[in-house]
Amino acid sequence: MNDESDRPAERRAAADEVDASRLCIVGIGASAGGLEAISDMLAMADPDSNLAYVVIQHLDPDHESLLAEILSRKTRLEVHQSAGGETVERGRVYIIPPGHGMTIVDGRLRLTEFAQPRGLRRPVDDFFESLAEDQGRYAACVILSGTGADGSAGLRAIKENEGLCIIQDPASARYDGMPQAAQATGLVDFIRSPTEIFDCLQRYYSHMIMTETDSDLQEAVRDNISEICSVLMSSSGHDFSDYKKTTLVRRIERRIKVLNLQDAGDYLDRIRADPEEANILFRELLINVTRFFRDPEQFQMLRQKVIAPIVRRKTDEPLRVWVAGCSSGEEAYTLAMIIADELKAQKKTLDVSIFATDIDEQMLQNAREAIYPMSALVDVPEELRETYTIAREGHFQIPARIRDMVRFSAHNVTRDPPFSSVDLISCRNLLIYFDDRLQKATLPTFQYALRPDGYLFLGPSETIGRFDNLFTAIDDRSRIFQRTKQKVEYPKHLRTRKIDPRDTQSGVSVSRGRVQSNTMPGNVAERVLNTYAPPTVHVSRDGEVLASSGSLGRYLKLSLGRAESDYVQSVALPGVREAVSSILREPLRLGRRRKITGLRARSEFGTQEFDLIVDAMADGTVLLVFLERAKFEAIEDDDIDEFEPSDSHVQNLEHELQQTQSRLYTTVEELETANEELKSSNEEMMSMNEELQSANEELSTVNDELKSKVDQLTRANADLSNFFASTDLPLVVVDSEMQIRNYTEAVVDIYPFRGADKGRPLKQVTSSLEQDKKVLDAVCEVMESGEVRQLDVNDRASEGARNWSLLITPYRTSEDKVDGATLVFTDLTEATRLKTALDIEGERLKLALRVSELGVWEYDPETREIRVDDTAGRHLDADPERHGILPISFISDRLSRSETATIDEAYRASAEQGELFEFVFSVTDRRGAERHLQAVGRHVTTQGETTMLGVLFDVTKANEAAQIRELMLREMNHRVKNLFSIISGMLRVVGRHAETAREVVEGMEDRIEALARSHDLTQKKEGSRAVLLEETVRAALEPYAGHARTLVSGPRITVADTELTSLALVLHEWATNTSKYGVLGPLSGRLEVTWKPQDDGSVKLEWNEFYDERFEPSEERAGFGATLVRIAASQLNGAVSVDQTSEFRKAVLEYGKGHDFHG
Amino acid sequence: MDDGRRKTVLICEDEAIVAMDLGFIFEDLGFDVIGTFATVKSSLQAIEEGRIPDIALLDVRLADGNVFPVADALADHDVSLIFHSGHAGLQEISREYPDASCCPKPTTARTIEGCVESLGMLTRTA
Repeated sequence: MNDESDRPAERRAAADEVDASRLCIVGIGASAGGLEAISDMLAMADPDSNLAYVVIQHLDPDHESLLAEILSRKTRLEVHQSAGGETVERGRVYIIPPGHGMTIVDGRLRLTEFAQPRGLRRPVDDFFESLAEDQGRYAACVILSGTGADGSAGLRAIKENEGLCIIQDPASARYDGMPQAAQATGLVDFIRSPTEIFDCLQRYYSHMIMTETDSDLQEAVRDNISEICSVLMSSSGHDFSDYKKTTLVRRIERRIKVLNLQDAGDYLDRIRADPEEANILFRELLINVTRFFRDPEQFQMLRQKVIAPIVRRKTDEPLRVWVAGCSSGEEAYTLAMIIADELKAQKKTLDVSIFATDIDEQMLQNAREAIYPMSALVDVPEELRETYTIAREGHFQIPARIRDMVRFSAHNVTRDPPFSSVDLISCRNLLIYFDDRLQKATLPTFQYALRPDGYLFLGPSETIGRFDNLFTAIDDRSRIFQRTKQKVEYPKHLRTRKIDPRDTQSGVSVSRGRVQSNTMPGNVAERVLNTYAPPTVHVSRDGEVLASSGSLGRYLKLSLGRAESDYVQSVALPGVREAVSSILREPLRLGRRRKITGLRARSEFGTQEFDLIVDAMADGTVLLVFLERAKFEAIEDDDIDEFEPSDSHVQNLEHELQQTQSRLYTTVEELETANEELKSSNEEMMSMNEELQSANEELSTVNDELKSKVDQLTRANADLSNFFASTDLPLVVVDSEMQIRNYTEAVVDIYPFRGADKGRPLKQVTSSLEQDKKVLDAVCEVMESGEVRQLDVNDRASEGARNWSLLITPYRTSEDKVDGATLVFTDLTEATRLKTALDIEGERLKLALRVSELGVWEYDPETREIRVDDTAGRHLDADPERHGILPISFISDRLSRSETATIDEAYRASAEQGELFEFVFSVTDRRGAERHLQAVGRHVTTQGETTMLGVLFDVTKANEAAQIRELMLREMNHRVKNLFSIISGMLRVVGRHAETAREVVEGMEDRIEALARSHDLTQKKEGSRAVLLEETVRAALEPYAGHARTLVSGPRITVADTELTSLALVLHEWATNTSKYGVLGPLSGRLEVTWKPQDDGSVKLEWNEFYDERFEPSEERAGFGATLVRIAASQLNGAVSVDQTSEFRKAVLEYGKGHDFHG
Repeated sequence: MDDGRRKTVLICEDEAIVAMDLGFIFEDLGFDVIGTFATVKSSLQAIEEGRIPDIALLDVRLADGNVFPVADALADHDVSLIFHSGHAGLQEISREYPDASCCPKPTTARTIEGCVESLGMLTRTA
């Protein structure tokens, strides 16, 4: 039982403050069949617990692992494939990457390169060991399905550091090798199905945290410890009561937590009632870790100071070493190796016996097998490794010649009698577990066992205490002591030992040459037996002599000390031998006695007649009692001769026997040789088997992954088939030979495939495409170049008018190799038609915009910028340098205040009510011309951005036209009303002078006609040309054309509109007068109408009538006509004068003095 | 006001016939027509010369512009005004010249009489 109380992990764990949220790391070891178990286990895991998981799986180093991918779909935890260096965090799963080992140091994962070839690797053990070292009691290990025994060694480390161990119930595991091996260590805390593991972990840790602070529990354990020890004593036979209390308490406490019990009393009840629990506790108390060459310097010193001198000194007597508390044997084998190596160095051979003892039978069994995990190999110094280890698959073994040096036996150093005459006792890290009393008892035992100059080798933290009278230090630092010459006393406590309950259990009391009696003192009984009782032999069922008493010389041939002769059959004298042999061959009825009478025992001295009583004892042994029937008959000389023939016969037989024996010996030797060969073949087979097993594990892992992948592929394939069946996308896949691999139904329009066409070369199928050949060439090209190509193709004229965009992409395999091509057709017929229509529409729109001088603008309220096209830019007289982007200030700065108010109102209305934005404003361009612009727009929202989009056009001309029209209308209105005024006025004036209605009508119609004519003048004039005076005159004379010679002459003088009516009235009155009374009427003569401008700007118009004959004019008619003329003249700012003679009549109108309104 | 003399009227009208007609109407109402003028210029000249009537009939638009300078000059002499126009906008005029009377074109003798009466200038002698 080796241990030390100052391991770093333990120290650290003890120093840790107990924190309910302390991270606990769970190592998960799995191999074949592990995927399912890991999935099941992690599916239950709660990401919010304080647990993190590290999955160590045997993985094929040559393949990517899909484990992380697969697991992440099964669990709510985050799953990562470790890349090394991660700090382990709660709620996550870390997966070992293929081809690496993994360790953990200070909570960080590290990847390691495997030192061993495939098959020798034990990544689970390696990780568990580092986890135990790093996390102490916050480490847990879980061993799931897998073959082999990986994990079992690591689990021991976890347990030694007081971590937790859970295994998958072997019955539920696909491969139960790993869980079985783990279970066989007897150190497993829980056996669960994968789905229960998380729950179990959770409960354990919450219990641990709950009770960690509870010193009451420790107290309770302390109080109950002697009770518990006594239960252990009665169940295991070992007394732990003198072991160090702290260790005991800690380990018992751990069991209480594992069992989820409330206090120590419960545990005491449990351990009393449940022998299995007692056994578990016993084993837990003995958890131990030992190593080859632990503390190498000490061993170096031991070899130098002790072993080398002993070997040198010894010649023929055996070298005896006792290793007390050998555990799994590493220390014993270490010593064996050192001794063997020293013997080799000194070229000596010695009989070496190393007695290695421990109280743990199971450990001893392991030690005898001498098989250790590969990871332990590094502890063996390199120079010894080659010679003293044999590599196996995943572990190594100590070779037979070293093994033969060591004898393992169960022995309790505190209780059982010690070995004697020992040269060296190695007892390392055992005493530390003992309390003071026990230590004091043990050291004298060692002194007793040692030869006078023997050595004692202790662990680095152990001392001989007060016993410096028994031992002197040889090397204090290396803990090597030598026995002093002090007188040796047999340790007293061993004499008064308690009865070993196991011995009583076995029920066989074996004692040589002694029978115990309770009724008589031993020496009296002995005397009686030897002297007065009949000679008796106590034999086993096979005849082995167990004990004897009395004088047996007459029945048996006694040659004591030769072990092989201790069978009663072989020592019995003739006459006895036959009877005994036959009796022992017969089945015996227990408890019955038989008596055979009349037997004669023949010795070389004589014959003895006797009866034999055979007493079959209850325990299966037999008591043979010889009863003398007569006096011993001495042999006479004659009788000796009789023996001769038989003697020679015996001699012959013996000779034959000898020959047979030598033949047998040869045969045995041959067999042994053959056996050795077989053994080595077997070893080879074993190692091959290991390799195969590991390959098998990897394969099953790969198989699991593949199965899962196949499921995915099946789904993906189904998806794909559905896609092919449902899509209306024409698609063809061809292989590298351009044979049709797959196609969608929709492609049948283009390639008239039929069901059997899969596998046919594409070129054998005629498509509806005009560019059939070109497509095939392009496919070839794509497969060669590996680059995507796009073609525009269309139907042959006869087939229709569809256009297709054909995309040919290389078909790449997962190895990125081009293995064919994919042809995807996109129907562009509609798109092409739309595009053409759109182009035409766009062209039209552009034209319309250009013709109408419509500018387009867009206002972005975010940037407060207006984007304008060329036309709009021109309208706004924007600098072309600005490239059509204008800040809003470009417009707003040019608006008047009222315009600004209007535009704001319009913009708000448009933004809020979605009304059409309409705004007219004026700008003055750089040439100073003012122009009116109208903007119309609407808010539009595209892709979440609202802008205002609109058009802008020049309304200057339209505005002007409208203004002119309005002016004209007003003018027209005015004139019409004026006309009505004139007519109504004229009517009233005419009415004043007329006598009859007839006169009114006549007076009116002429004048209205005259006004109409003068009005005609204004309408006939071309453009804005003013009416000429000449035209006015001619118009007045028009009704009388041809009535007289008429001269109309004068310079070009224009008549203002305001003058026209008055002038026309004057001329009308004159013409009427002339037609009524003058040359245009009754008189013959000529008329001359002339005019000329005067210096003062006025015009002098003369109306001259020249009579052919003298004419006596009557009195000037001062009628209505004359009044009208006078008023009209005054309206013209002028005056009329008339000069009447018999030869002529001259009327003069001078008007427009100053011509102030002619402009 | 009735000093026994006949009341005088000044007519601003650029249409000869209308001017003549209006002259007759006013004569019928017992007024002496002291002048019919077709232009602003000649009208102002007459006023300057001291030919101030009792009442004036003003066509709003004359050959050389709006009649308002004439109206203002006459108003300074407390002349009663009758505006005569074919234009819309008589309302604005009555706002500017609240004491004036208005009659639209074409008018009738009765309308003019009504206007004159409303101005309190009708002194028809038997």
